Amino acid sequence: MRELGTGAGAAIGLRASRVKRRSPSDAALVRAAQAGSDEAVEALFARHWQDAYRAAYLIARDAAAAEDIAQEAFLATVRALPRFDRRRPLRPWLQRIVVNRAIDWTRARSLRQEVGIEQVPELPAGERASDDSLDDEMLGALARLGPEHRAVLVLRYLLEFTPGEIAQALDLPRGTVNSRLRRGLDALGATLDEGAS
Amino acid sequence: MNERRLRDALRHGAPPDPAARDRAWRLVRAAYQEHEPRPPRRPVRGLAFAAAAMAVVAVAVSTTAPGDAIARWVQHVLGAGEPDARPALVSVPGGGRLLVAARPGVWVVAPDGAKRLLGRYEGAGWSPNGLFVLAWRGGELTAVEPTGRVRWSLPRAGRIRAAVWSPVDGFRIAYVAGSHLRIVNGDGTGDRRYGAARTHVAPAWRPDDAHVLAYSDGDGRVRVVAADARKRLWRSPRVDGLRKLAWSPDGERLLALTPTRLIVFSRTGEVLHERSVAAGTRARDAAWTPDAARIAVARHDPRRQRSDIVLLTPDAPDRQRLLFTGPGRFGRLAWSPDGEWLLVPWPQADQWLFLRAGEGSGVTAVANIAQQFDPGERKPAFPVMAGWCCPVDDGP
Repeated sequence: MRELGTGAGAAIGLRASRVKRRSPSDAALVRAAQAGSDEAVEALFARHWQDAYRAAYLIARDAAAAEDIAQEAFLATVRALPRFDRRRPLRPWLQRIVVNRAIDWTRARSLRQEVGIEQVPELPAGERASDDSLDDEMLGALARLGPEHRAVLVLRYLLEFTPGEIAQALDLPRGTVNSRLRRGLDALGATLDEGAS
Repeated sequence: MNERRLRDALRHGAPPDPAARDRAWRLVRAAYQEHEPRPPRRPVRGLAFAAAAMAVVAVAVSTTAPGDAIARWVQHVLGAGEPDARPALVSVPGGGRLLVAARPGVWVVAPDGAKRLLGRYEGAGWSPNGLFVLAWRGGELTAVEPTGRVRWSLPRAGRIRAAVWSPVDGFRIAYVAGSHLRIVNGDGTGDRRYGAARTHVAPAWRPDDAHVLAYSDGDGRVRVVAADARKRLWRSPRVDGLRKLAWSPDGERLLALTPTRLIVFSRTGEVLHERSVAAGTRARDAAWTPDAARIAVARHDPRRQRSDIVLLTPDAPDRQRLLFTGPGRFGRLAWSPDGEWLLVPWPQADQWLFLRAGEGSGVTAVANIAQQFDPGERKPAFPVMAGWCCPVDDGP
């Protein structure tokens, strides 16, 4: 990946078919982006958008808000690029912004006690990516948890963060993360058991 | 609890939205290209100084005897313009500061007529106390100090058509980007989409600190909402051709202006008054008088190619007062902060008219407006009045 230092898009390896090689690391893409490579930014966006949007959606339960939150996180990343420390991994940094903003948004909405007239309606079943009824039940149960518990579960089971990484991302003690994971899983299990009985 | 099942559910739990992804990518790319390493920009102060110097030269040329004679001849031939107009804006009648959107960008005009070019923006508006200017260009919304210092900026996917700062506290900003109404906090944080909106109608905050907003929704209805609670307070039937929404300064009534009708709603949405604009004319703009008793309306008669400014009393249809009439069309109206003067832009005459509406009516005209705000151009463009703000003492 030494050629990434040139900052040229073709040198990044994104489109290089001559040699089948590993995808460049986030650190390499960040370095290329800092050198002015549009392609590197596009590769970072392509790599992380779906997770960012999905995490925001699962916590906020609102498609428009998820779009805004994920978008804002990427804009914050782009603004921070020139001074971004390449020794730090990008993904936890980006997802930390997403998850914290999604929690803030959800708390603000509950404080506002929205009446829902302007809210994006729940997606009809036909538009869901999965028609698996158990998945739907699982997501319904997840939606009934508080945003803090949802966030911990999303970080752990969607984004595959370790409890230590979650603690760092949410600025929480490790024990709190573990207890939220446990309680979240218990609550989901209880809800699903009720549905089954 | 089956953790694998939870993982699967989460992976499939958010519907893919390619359109959202595309919108986000366009913004991210634009933001990246904006922030890419590049040669440092010339400071705004330098630009403003250069533009001011050019303006001084342009005004000097236009106020020479030959220039003055040509202006008078043009006005004489066209039959437009006040004959005793001042050749340049050397003071703002009524005081306060003006915000002017012109071809080179947005200008701030001080009470003594001194101008500062803020930057290459398409439109602008004042914050409640005139401490900041909200300016936009393309899809970027920017909060800038009247000195030109940028405080924050926000790139958006859609083209921004209008933006307004909430009155009193300035905690919220409503703006129309693309085909959506969006709301952002006054410090540039918390930007969120609110709903579909008509692009050509600026939203209007009720003049109190309750963050109540009127806007034209995607169906062409007037919708009034409590923005923080995202709660609809009321919604009108469809209003065809809606051109402007304006709350009365006391916040008790809402004016909806169309080319042919003035509709005045109560605070709770009842139609209090509805009247047609005079037969054969079309309303181009309207503004409440500062005492909320009357409405100044700019009307245009396309058949006669003339316009007039009248003061209407909403609840007394037979009471109206003609303030001014002249050939061509008039631009966007603005009241002075003290409520004594009404600024009427008059493109055909290349003049601004300051009409004294209170006791002792009169007209103060200023000529060569296009050249003063678009200096150095052979065919200068007439600017758009974007706002008139604040007591003189509050100036920077």
